Amino acid sequence: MKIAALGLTALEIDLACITPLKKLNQEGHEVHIIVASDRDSIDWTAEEAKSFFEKFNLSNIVIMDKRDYSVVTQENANALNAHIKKINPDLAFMPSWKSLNARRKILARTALIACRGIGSIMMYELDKNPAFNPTVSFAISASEPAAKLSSTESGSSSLSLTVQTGQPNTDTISESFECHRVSLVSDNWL
Amino acid sequence: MKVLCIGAHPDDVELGMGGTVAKHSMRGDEVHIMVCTLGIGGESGDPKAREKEAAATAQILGGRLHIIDYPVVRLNKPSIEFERIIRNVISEMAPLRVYTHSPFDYHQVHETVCECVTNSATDVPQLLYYEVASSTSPEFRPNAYADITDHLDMKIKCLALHCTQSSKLYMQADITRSLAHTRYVLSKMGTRPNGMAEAFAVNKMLINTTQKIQPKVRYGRD
Repeated sequence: MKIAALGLTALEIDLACITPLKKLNQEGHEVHIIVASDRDSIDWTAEEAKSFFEKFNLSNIVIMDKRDYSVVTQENANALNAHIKKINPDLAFMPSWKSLNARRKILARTALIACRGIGSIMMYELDKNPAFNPTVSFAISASEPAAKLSSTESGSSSLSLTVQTGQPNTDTISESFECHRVSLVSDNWL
Repeated sequence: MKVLCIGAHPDDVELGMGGTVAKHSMRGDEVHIMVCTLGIGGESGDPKAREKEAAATAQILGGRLHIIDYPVVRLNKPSIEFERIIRNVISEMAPLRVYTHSPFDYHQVHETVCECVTNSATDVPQLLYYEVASSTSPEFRPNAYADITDHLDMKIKCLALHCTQSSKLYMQADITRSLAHTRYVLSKMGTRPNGMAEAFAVNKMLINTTQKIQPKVRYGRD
């Protein structure tokens, strides 16, 4: 299975979904990271971002910078789509298109245009947002060491320690995502 | 994967997710179809005939049929007794995924089933709602889809076997085909020009990526 994770910054992807990405990568799935920033110099430099993700054996990194996120543009969507086409992911992680952060929201809407035809899309939100409705979690062993470099209390609302199910383990820890769409019965675990 | 599909009436599961049931079954999943009422006390056809129709379609779809046969007149609103029955079934069966009616359905029996299943599925990792063209309301907002392009004909064939319901508009093949194509296009999940899909709304989905399924073809009579 091919997975793509998109974010404005490497830090954002780390905060939002590094744990499932790491797990999926360990299980042999092909994980790609796309940092699509609107800044000249992103929170981390491209080299720093690459070396960070390489610690988790995530080596498929694309850095796009200097994007204009004042509005949704076809140009940005096309630029993103060029990478998406190459990767052809089955599953994409991206920010919520209802995000309270304007830049993140523009990126999400751009990404939705770029990801037409992609079967499953999970959205994350880093701010407290009542419009965000996370219903999808990934089961992760409680013994799994925390992968995050920088998961702090600040707005990391998607880290849930209580999963409302008795199976497969009551002690699973999971990050939660809003399901924009999921392609059912398309893969072993969907 | 063990899957439980719960419908109020004998044709609801086929109508809402017949293609998905076939797809699960073909993948090798253990599929259970539960019919809550045969309509005793109601006016929707002879219960015995409806039972036979449900059995025939379940066999085609490769699912194991369970009939509760709860009196339909007592399903006009949720009850502790009915919820207890559902809870026991789920507890004994321990499915990984449960499908049932959407809460956005104005048929009172569908609504009752949805509420009781949702309340009973607290320990089920995955709960999804399907739509039925007969009564699901526009508030149903799908965010999960199954590509049933290769299974639509089987779904239509199963619906046609529900002879007692054949005069109803929503049981017609054209309606089924039209909704499936619309759902596929609106989902943006694929690029097949003739794509067909069934739509679902996720209540919760705990994904265990280590879940292993041995693919095998396990179809019933075709």
